[in-house]
Amino acid sequence: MAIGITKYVGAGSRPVTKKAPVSSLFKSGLPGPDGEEDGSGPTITDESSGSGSTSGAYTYASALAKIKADQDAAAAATTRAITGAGNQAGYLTGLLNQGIPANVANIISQGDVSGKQYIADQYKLLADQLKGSYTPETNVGTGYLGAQGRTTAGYNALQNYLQANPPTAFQQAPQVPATTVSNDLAQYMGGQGVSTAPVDPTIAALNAAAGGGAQNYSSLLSTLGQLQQAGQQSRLAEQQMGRSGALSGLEQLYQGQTGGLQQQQLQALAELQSNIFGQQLTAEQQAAARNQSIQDALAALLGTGYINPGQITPTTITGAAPNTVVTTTEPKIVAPPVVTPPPKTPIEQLAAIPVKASNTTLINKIENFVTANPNATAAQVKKKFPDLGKNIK
Amino acid sequence: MAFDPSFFEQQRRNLFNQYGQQAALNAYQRYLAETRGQRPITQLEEAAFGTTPGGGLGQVPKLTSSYARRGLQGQNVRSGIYDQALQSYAKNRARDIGYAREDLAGTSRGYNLADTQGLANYQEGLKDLESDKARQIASDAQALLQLR
Repeated sequence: MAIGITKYVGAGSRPVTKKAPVSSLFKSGLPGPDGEEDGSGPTITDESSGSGSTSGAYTYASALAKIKADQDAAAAATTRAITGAGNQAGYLTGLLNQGIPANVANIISQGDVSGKQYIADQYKLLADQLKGSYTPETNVGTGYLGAQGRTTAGYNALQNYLQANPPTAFQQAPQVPATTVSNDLAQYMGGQGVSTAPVDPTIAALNAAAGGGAQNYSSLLSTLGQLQQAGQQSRLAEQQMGRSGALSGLEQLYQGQTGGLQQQQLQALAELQSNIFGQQLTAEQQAAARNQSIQDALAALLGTGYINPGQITPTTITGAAPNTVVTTTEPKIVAPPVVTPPPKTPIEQLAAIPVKASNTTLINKIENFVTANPNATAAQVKKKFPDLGKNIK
Repeated sequence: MAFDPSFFEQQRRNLFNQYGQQAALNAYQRYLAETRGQRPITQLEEAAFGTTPGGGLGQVPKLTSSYARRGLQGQNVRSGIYDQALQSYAKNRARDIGYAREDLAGTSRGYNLADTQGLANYQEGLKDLESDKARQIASDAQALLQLR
């Protein structure tokens, strides 16, 4: 039967406490210097052998004191464990379902915002470079506007040249007047009385032919002049078509390049979005894993028996990710009260020192001293038992 | 690929040289042709009346003296043969001179036309050059943009 256990003997009888013999307390064989239990025990200077008349009372009181001290220590340990478990449960419960930590969420959010801003800035930079600029005064430019400006300047120069140089070659061509012929002998024939009538038709025919020839030539020049004028109009139209075609080509090219740039921007945004989603997913997974760890820790805490499930709220993980900004408030850790067992008295310490059961002299001496001096100080104990008193505080 | 105006200046000089050479050759040929064309006209004019000691044309056709020697023409002498011969001679002479002058005018017109066409070709060539230049500028601008 365990020490200090109350046993009822028979019905109606008083509870009888069976006191353990004090000597049994010292039957803990101690190993000798060589590690073997030789039964000789520590060498104790036996200064007083004692009478033995008070040894029973001493043994009993000493045992009671030791039992009480053990019970108090056990109770204090239990109290500490319960208090610690409650505090631990409170701390862990406070960590439950907190989702993604605010700083992590903020970093991800900032990455999203700054990434989008970077992509937008890069797009604007490249778009501006693609668009370029043009200075008409110097005909210097870059990008689309530069190409457009140079093209326009080139066709403007052509247009100005064509308008400043209309076709004039055939309009200003030297004309050869129609030749004429006359009857040089007409005066002489008249003086001789010879009629000029037979000659006149020939003269008229020759002049008519010459006039016709001159007119044909003039008509030819006029026709060629008109052809050249039509060519001029054609050139002006060609210039206009060339200008429109070139500018349309530039516009098409520019739109294509801009479209490519926009596509790159969309790809970059999609990639960024994917990365952000990945980071959020990872953060969610980590939050869930952390929650699970907390749950496991709480379950393990429940397993110790120091707390009951009702002390854990919430008792389950919802698993729902917070859709709002999570503000982290670190749970306050309440320091559990430190329960310190009352210090043992020097006598209790002396009684707790194991002594070989065979060393009855020493046992008796201790019993006598404890009985005679229940409130002895440490100095008194050390004085009485110099060797044993080394560990007495 | 970059725009090089000197290339077009070279073409412009070539056009001008070609035009100048053609115009000079045409002018020289015109001179020769006019000289050649004027010669029969002068001969025809001089053949009718002869020349005076002072170098001018005479007043009486050469034809008259031959008829006079045969008694078909002279003072108080009238003959149908002479009248008809004189009329025929006047007609032929006018025709020959008219033809010669028209030939000369035609030849001159031909050279004028060649001159004018040369000038027109030169002008059109310059305009072609300007068109090519504008197209080259546009093409270069597009190529530069395409490099981006």
